[in-house]
Amino acid sequence: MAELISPLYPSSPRTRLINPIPWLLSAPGAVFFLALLGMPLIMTLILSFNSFDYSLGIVSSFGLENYLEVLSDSYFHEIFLRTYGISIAVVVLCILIGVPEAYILSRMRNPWRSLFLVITLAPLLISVVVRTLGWVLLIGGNGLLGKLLEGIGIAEASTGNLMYTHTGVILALVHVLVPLMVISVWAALQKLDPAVEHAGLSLGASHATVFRRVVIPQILPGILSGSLIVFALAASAFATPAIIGGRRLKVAATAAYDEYLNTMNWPMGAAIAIVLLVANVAVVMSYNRMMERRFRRTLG
Amino acid sequence: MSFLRLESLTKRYGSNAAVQDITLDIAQGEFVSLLGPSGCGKTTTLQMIAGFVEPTRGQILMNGENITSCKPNQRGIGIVFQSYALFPHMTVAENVRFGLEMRKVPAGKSRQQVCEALELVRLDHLGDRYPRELSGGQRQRVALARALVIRPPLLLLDEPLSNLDAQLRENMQIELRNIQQQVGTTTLMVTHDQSEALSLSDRVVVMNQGKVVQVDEPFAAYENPKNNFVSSFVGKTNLLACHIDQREGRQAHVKLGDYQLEITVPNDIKGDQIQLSIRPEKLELTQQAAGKLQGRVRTRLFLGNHWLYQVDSSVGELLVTQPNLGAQGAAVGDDVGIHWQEGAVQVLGEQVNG
Repeated sequence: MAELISPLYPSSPRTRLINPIPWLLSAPGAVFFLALLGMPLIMTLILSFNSFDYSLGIVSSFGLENYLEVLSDSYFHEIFLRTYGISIAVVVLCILIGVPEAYILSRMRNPWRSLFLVITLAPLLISVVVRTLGWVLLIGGNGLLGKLLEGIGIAEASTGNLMYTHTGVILALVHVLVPLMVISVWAALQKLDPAVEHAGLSLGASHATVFRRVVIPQILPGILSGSLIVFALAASAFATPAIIGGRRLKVAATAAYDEYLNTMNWPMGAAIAIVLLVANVAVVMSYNRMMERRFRRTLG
Repeated sequence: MSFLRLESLTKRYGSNAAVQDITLDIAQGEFVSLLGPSGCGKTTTLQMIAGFVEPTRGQILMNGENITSCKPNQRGIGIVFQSYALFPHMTVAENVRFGLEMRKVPAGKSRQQVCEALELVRLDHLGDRYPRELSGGQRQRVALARALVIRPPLLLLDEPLSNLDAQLRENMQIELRNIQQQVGTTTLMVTHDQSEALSLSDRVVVMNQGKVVQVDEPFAAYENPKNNFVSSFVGKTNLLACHIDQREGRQAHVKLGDYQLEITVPNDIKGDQIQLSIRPEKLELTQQAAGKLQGRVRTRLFLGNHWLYQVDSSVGELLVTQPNLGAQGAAVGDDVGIHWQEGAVQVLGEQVNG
């Protein structure tokens, strides 16, 4: 019996044969991934160590001066603080809008539920650039919001001009990203046993208390993973801050773009991009670790 | 004076009546079961009492007070849900404490009551566990403790044992009955399991198609079913359709194959088409000549404490159970006689659908 089992279940690593099939099966995906994401990323990383000279262009050298500049210059500090400030504000607003929206959607009956779910998710089908240009029509210098405020008579038309302001960028980003929060919370709500809410009510809790004490804790993993997606996408967003924030309100992604295409300082742009990437990965991973630790025992 | 009173309670969904005109009185401390097949309206009835479903018509009175339009969180009724519906993000003790917190019971007193409730269901050592770390039977008991800790005037059990395996279910039945008698809470249980209803309840309410068919003590419902639906839903039975040939007052003669049977027809049965119901355990297999009917054994199942026979007889297929008294009984293919004691036959009216 032992002889029969041993080839199937090798006891020591020396006798283990590498089964090529899983490697072969995953090879096309791995090659694709490496060629299209890995290579440019590595090249960007190498580029970020190079230096730049206004007369010579990119100088093939190895040094940390780009990183030192990004990490020490208050100009870049402001850009990164703005990037993460906007991202946090967008996450908070997406939670405040997306969670109740998903909860209300899940309590609706069909056909309304399907209809409103489609309406909520439909913006994802439209290009971000087009949607942002739509916002420009609304909140631009000669936009509808200004005209509306003037028409009602509560403020001057210029109050409605939110171009190149934090409010404008946050507003447009929230609009772009709220469906992702809704999807994430929606998925968590689907797993909720409706009888659990009834149980809360039968024990004398009000609807608000049931929502706060029973529903929210159970959909918290969904809210947190939604926040993660929204945060990562807001921090690395380009189109919306570029169109609405412009050069007056630079964020990390637009700053990197400007280094590449305006100053032609590619190594500096690459360094900004790498810092943004590392910071985002660090935030996402530590957040994920924290979540897993917190919910392993209770919600599995 | 009834403690809980349902007065012509009705729930319609569109033109479809889920519950039709139910009137029921439950006394203080009584354990009553709503028994019926799925879709008979028993769960809807329970949800109306709990306040999760609004009745179309009728009233619910608890302790003389009309609670029909009360919100579910103002009724103070303890409920054990079919899925247990424990709060997965709270420990066992926190689950049980939730109802006390909502009632703003002071911390010291609430800690003591949580302890008592967990002791009652023998889970006092698992207070720090989370629900997903417990077995099905333990979750069930947490749900019961959580419902009882608020000292509800009324306890509703929605198919409380249906998610447990057979052996555990039997243990929980005994435990549930003991706990209910210990705390004395008026209890209404919904179930589709007739043995559960019979073993636990003081009274059984048999429901079918949104209506109450029979309300009786378990023994009476089993021995004197009102119609063929009750007789076949509460326990197993053999139903034989017969025609009354002669009738003198309440005495009548019917033909069962070659056998002339004298029966007493209940007053409320007027027609000539009747049904006879004979429970399998009241039939006996004998020598062929000694039986009232003759037949041949088609199949035989050994069930440990008894055998279940399927016998082809002159009046059709009959189910017969024979207690296992230590000897092998009739085998498949044997010709047998079928005998029964006087009074074993129940006379039912014309067939009703169910």
